[in-house]
Amino acid sequence: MLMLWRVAWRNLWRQGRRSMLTVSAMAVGVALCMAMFALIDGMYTRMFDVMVSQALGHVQVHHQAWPADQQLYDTVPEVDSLLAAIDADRGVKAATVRLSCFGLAAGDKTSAGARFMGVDPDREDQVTQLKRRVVRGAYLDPAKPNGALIGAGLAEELEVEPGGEIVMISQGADGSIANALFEVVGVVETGSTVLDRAGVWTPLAVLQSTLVLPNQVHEILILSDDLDTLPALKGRVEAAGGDQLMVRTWPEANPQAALLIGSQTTSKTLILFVVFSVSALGVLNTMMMNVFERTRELGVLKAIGLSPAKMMALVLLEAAQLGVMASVIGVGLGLLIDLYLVKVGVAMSNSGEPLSFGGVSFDPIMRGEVRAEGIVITVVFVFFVSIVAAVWPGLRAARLQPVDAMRQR
Amino acid sequence: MFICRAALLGALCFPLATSAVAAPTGTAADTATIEELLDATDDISRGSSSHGVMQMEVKTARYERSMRMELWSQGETKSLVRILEPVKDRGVCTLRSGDNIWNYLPNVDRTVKVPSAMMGGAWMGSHITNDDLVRSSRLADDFEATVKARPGQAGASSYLLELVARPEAPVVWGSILVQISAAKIPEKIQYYDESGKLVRTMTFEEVKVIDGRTMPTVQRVLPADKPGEQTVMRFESMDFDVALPEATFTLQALKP
Repeated sequence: MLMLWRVAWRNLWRQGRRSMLTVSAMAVGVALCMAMFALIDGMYTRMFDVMVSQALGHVQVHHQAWPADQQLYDTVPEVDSLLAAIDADRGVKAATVRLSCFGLAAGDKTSAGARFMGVDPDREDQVTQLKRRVVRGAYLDPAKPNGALIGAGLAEELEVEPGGEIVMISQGADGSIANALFEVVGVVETGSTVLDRAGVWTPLAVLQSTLVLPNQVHEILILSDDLDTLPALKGRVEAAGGDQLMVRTWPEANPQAALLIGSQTTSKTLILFVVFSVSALGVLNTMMMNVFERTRELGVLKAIGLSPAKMMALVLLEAAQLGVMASVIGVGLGLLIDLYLVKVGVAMSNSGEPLSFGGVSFDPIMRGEVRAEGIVITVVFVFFVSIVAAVWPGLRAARLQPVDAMRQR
Repeated sequence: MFICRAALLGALCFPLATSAVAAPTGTAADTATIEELLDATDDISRGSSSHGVMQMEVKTARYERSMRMELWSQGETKSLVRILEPVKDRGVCTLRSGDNIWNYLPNVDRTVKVPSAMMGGAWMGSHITNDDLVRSSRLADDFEATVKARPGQAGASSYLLELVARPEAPVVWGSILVQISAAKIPEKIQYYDESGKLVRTMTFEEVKVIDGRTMPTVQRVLPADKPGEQTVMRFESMDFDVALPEATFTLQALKP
């Protein structure tokens, strides 16, 4: 075997330039795949953060009638005991409660429709990392019960900045005109187009009293450490709450988001397929040429007793060596590109405006995210493809008749 | 002249008074023209200006609420409502001028204009929308009317008018059925959407003479899709053709 390995290695270098061209084509393929994977992973991680972790939670709890109608009255029954049970569950990383309603937000000059969300500032930050999204001003402060955060788009529309005031008008649970005055303490950019344009976050207690819904909430969002065991967590929450609850995992709550986020697998598969079909043709061509050119020589080897299996192995080994070289060079090159994508990023728009896709807005500079999984898949794939591509030339070599082969010039 | 395309406005928008039409009765009824009947409907409440007090009771599946409010109006396009009771909402004002509506909220001491996106929203938690408050075109402009029945004919005791929206008319209804008494006072209006489904019914009851005019003093709004729910408006007092200062219908006047 070692002998075959050495023979294969020597054979490759008899046409050094051709081999190196094939290797470099494959290496570029590997590097490109890694770069694309890094970009896709970066993009989908952000989508998952914005669409799932920050908006849906991993598991969400509502009154069973809420998802369909979003009526003010559909609050979570017995929220205190349920929340205590959720907090005590070991599968729960963080949980937040929200009361929300649609209404009118008015600045000094203009007004706009808005979605008001009453939140517990600490809990909300643990789940949606809202504090980090504050771009101007400060986060909600328990010392300012009438402080509010507003989305950047809404702030622009209402022409208010931190320190300014907005009036909320909606309808209370008793039919009264729910109105309240809030001081804008901060402006947030959540990455969700909808929330940035219409979101207003206020302390929970203020919204509860404004809407005349004392101690009530519309939803509980739960983050878990383990995304694979969400159905089990859902079951435990269901058991802890009453039968009027609707508990859903995030793909159940937003199948479109699940579909969109699931589509990254398709994108990656497609890229792998395209890049490596090209590589496979390169390997096939190289090995075919190798076998044709060396027909006489291979005939001699056969005549002195090399078995067809070993002939096949010889060709496959040559291809495998191409694959190994391509992997090493490609991963090296790919890591350099990844480093650039992570540190510097790619400008996706000339204007500097954020891009939006699927209701999630992205920085104009898109940054990659490198995962070991992406590199391993690429390397395994390139190796596998080079060997498969060499099967046909290998078969030709194995089937050579020594006499005919040696007669060829 | 106050009107509301749906008579709703009439009620709410405060100038109340039934029309000049109130006088003729009896024999003239049989010969009433479509125009007269439509005018009578448009002008359930009419007056160059008015001032009154109204009780509004809202009953929904979730809550019941009762409000007392003071109303002023001038012409067809200006009106003001100030809530007197309950105490929690006391001083809340709605000013309508032309197509615009402003709400004054004493709790926060702010006046907020209702944006177009919110015009479809409920007014004061009732079954009347902000849109109802500002509509002021005449029925004859937007609908093609036919008389389906006349008092005394085929056992009918009232006029029945069917109004079908003109294709280009900017209205939300497909058709409207209006029932008008022989004395040309509207009794019932039914609103249908474009697919012919009943959306809401308004009834006019307790016809009384107030400040020299004959008018229904109770209006009831019944949404068809929410059985059991209703908004009832009762007029406690009403004065017509009163002298109101110009400043009554300005934003400054909203603050107490």
